[in-house]
Amino acid sequence: MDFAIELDRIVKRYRTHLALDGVSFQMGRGVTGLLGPNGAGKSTLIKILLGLMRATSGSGRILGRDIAKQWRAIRSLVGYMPEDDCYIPGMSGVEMVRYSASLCGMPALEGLRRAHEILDFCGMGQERYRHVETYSTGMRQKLKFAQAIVHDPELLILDEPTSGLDPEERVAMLNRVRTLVVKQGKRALVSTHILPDVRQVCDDVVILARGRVTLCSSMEEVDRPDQAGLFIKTLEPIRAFADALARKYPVELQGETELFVAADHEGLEQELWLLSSETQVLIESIYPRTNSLEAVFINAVKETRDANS
Amino acid sequence: MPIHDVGYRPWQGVKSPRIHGWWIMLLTNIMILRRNGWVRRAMAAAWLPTIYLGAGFYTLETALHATDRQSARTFVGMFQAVVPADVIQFIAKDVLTPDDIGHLRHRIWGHLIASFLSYPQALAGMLLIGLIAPALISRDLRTRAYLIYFSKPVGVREYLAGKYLTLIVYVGAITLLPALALFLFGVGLSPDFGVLWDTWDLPIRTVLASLVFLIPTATIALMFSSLTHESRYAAVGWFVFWLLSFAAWQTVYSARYLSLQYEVYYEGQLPERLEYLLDEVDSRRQFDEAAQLMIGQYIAKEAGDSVWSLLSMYESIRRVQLWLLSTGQPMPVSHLLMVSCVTLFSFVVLLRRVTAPLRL
Repeated sequence: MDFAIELDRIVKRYRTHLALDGVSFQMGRGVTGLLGPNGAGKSTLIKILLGLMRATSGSGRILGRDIAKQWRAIRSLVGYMPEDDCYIPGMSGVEMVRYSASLCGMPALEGLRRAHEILDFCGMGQERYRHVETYSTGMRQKLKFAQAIVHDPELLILDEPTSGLDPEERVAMLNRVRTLVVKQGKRALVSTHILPDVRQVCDDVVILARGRVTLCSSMEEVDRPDQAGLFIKTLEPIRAFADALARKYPVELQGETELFVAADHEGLEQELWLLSSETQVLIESIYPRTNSLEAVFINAVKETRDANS
Repeated sequence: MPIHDVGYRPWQGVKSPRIHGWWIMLLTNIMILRRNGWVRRAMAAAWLPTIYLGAGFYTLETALHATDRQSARTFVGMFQAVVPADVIQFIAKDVLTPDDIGHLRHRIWGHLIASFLSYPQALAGMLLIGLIAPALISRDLRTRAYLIYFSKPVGVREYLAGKYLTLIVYVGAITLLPALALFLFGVGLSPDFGVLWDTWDLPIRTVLASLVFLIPTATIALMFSSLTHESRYAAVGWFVFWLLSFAAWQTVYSARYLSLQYEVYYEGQLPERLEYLLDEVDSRRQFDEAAQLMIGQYIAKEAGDSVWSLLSMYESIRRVQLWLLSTGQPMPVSHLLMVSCVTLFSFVVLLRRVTAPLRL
């Protein structure tokens, strides 16, 4: 498998402070969420990936290029959307995107055409002709995203892409990321604090805490609970249904119309429908138990803290 | 909902294999600055002294070839402060041989261009730099625009080159360009192209003298710009730096000048080779313009011949420029060193400040 990112024991030390402590992970296809509390080393890691700073030790490759030596090639192939606002006062939105295209080596006229095309994709209308200093936060986010993808990069590194966006724009932004990944085969590393965004858009997740990778797994793995089970909700009082089910499986009542049954899904659904028919209790919904990403995140961070102390 | 939306399409074109980030930055900065009315007005005003110098070149060429001395007197009246007195005396001679003309032309053109670069254009250049440079890096720091460059295939060297070139193009357009235009104007006014033989080295010297101004000033200005996120503080720092250093040197210079003037005029202390000037003034008991000029230039030179002149960066640059554009001047080693050291120091600070956000 060709990995978009391969990192091997990356260490970054700022005099006395250890920012990254042997970070190793591999990122394949799809979208990978990079999670971590403040000061975990996410920004440092992104800077190292882009060749903005050198790692104290360790090695890594992005799209097959050495991060220590081939920063120019890497930056041509990577689209980076920073978390902070970054703009040049006095330039319009379309000029900014064209500027980014030119800096990546696109011919001037083609850069302008491509800038318009990408701004259309990002949902930016006539405001593209306004000076960027007059833009709202949401417009600036879209502009940064447009600048990151204008040169058609293979890998996107997005730092808090939905920060400051209203709910509608947030969904649109995540859809754009998903479109690029699913339809265009791009890979994306999304650094964010917003866990629902990760759940919505990511295929894999990397959790960084205190400069270490504490979890590197697919979302499927993360979602898989330690104990299998189903949450069942009924339209009528659930007591009779629960009693019947409790004869075969451990059941935990969670109110008048809800229960949790601790059992593997395989074959259980059929039994539930039969029981529903027997007890005359209508089932409203059945949900498999999943891990909460919040819990996984908090546990991963806590484990590192405990290990350090 | 859009009526038509092509969505995202991969880009199939061919990228430039070697991207010249500095060139793209230069073009973009020129585009932004072209919209600034103050910059446009300042640049137009900065070309005005060229007209005066052009008239000077015209008068000089007329004086060198005319039989009457009226043009020579006009030229002396226009440029007595900047052209050496012995040259002025020489030009006033009734008959000039072709050898005299060739020699004089080279010296006078060199002095005129040096004065042009050192006085009006240096002042205009500093004002223009004060208008353009403070925002060049401080703005990028404030708006984090450096991330736009450093997330693209642009290195720190190219980033700095783009900033330097922006200043060099703008300030060069009001210093080097008019100086070369004056040279060409002078050549055009000459009766034959033999003038090119006499003055072939002047364009090269002019380019070097302009660079002596452009590189240190651009480096210092960019250093000030990199020290702050607010361009107005950088602008204040820039002007205060030049004003304070110039004022410090002018104070010392004025004290030395007045003291020497007293010694010469009241105590008659002049070097042996110049004593005849005083006799000439005394014997005629009238104001002798040429003698007065020579004495004045002697006092100015003696007063300026002090290590305190190193206090002023402007003075150091001026002396190096004068050395480059004059023949027979001794190399101002200490001033050259001073200019080099300040430029180097500023560059190191600039480099550290530009890379600082990346190191965190």
